[in-house]
Amino acid sequence: MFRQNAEKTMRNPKISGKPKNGLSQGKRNDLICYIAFMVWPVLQFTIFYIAVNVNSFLLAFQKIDVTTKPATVTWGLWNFEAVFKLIATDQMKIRIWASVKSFLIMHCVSVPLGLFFSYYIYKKMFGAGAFRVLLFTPSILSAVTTAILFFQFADRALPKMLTDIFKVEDAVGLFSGTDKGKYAAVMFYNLWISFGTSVLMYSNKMISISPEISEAAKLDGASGIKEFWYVTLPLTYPTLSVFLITGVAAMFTNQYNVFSFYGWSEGAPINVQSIGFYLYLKAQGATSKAEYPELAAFGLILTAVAVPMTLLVRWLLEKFGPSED
Amino acid sequence: MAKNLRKTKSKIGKTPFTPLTVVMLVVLLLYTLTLIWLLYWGVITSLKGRYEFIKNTYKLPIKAVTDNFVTIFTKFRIDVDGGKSVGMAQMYLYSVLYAVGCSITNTAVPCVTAYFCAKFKYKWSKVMHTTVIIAMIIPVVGSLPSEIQVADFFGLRNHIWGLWIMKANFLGLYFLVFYEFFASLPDSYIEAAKIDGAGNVSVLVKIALPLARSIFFTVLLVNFIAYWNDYQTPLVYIRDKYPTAAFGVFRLSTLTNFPNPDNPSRPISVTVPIKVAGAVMLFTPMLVLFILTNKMLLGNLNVGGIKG
Repeated sequence: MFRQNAEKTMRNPKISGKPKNGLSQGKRNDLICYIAFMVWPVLQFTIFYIAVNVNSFLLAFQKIDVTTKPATVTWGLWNFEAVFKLIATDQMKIRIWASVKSFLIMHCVSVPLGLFFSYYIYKKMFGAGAFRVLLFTPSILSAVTTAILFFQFADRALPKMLTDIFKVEDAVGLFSGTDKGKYAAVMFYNLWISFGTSVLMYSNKMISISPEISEAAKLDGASGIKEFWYVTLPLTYPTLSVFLITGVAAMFTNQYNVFSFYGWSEGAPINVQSIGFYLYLKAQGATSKAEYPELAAFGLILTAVAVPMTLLVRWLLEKFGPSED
Repeated sequence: MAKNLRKTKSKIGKTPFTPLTVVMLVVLLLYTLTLIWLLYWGVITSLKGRYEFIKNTYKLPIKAVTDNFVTIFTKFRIDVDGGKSVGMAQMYLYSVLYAVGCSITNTAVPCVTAYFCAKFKYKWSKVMHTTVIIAMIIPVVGSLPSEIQVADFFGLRNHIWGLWIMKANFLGLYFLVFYEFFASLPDSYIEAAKIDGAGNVSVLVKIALPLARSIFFTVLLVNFIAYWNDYQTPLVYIRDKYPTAAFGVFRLSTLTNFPNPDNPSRPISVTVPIKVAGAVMLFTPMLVLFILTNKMLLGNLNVGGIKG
């Protein structure tokens, strides 16, 4: 009798919290709460990621005539024609080469140095704590402040110091000499400020490596470079690969702080200008909507290049990268 | 006993010098010396008058003056819509509003979204997690013109709150940082709270967020510093109404002179010490903040691999 009553009670959805469709009251509450908290991120993503990118895609095929009221839109491939003509110009070829060259220099110098610095910090060598703080310092300073300080120092104070201290005759400021010198100065600056976040992430990942693994490697005779190569690097690889994969697009988006150095003036030598700088300069300085479609078409072409490149890099890193095992 | 244990641990952790580490030490020393030197040079230059800088470009000032800071703070103004102009104090206020608002929205949204994705095992949670990874991997180049159009369409341009909304997204590295943390949090914490009668919001507010507070404040701080320093987003979206201090310093660095409010016929020349003083004014608050919080800032961020 008692059992029968209990079963009857449990079958009552109001009491047991289990409605006929099988979803308990608790699970329904979970679902309602989940949906409520997902509304904003999904809505925001839909507008500022999906809609922005779909609009950018459509924009690439539009020609906007702002002389009519309201502005009229016609559809076609003119923007792509214009971009391909632009890419064929000598100036744009120099910009593309500057972007590729800067990307390679940054990755070939900054990544290995960042890893070595992180290893130094991880191994708690002399002054590791202080170096960790100092390496991160450029990351907390605005690009515009470090660019002003670097530009003025390299252009005004450095030649005077070279003349006074090292007796160098005819020393000129790094930003007042040849275009090659200006490019070297910009790249030196970019390398100089590049270690903060990467060293922080790499060293935090290295610190999370179990000390037993390191001790075992030492017992097996691996120390110094061997330990770094066979133990530390493979275990830091997941973090490193995140930086490498997500960094591929930087070839076309990184401004290499050229805007911070030269601003709107377009006074930056052409060999210093990257594609990222060019796109930002044009987009922020657009005086009417009519200028947007060509930039969108340029962006679409670059995306079409960057996506397979990123996927290729990812595949290569997965196939040939070291294993954590 | 504990002291001995600490000593032993630190001995185990330390590594003897090798040729490689000696080279690294030299490189690191040179690097940090250049960094400290540049900041030092910035401070001493900002304290020099126009004529002293011409004669003495890198040594300590013979007579330190604060005129450059006073000039920037009292006389430098940026014209905004409506025939008005904005001084440096107001630019600082806009910087605070921009940086605080954007850092809160850009930290809270990924944190809360990551919590729900990690702890509620619906298929949609997996979709969200994969979306973040795909958005990180698949690069989109040149979408700024479209973003400006969308911001214009929703009336977000020329409003600081408009940027708060635009930055309130869950995408990016910090979602993964929060996700890893919440995924590693034992479910028993949440189950125990639910047995005690706590609802989902109570669990989030009273258990999950307090446990994640260390990572939350680290990300908040990193975001705050990034937005304080950012001048390119305000330049595109709010420069005509709410110029921030970073934008003001950038603007100052591009000028050769600016109008003198006391004597319109004699504009003020933007000398090297004035430009450098602007940079010092902008980085000093962040440097102080970093000195106070560097232990928290440097200890709490870790990123794993991307698994698609």
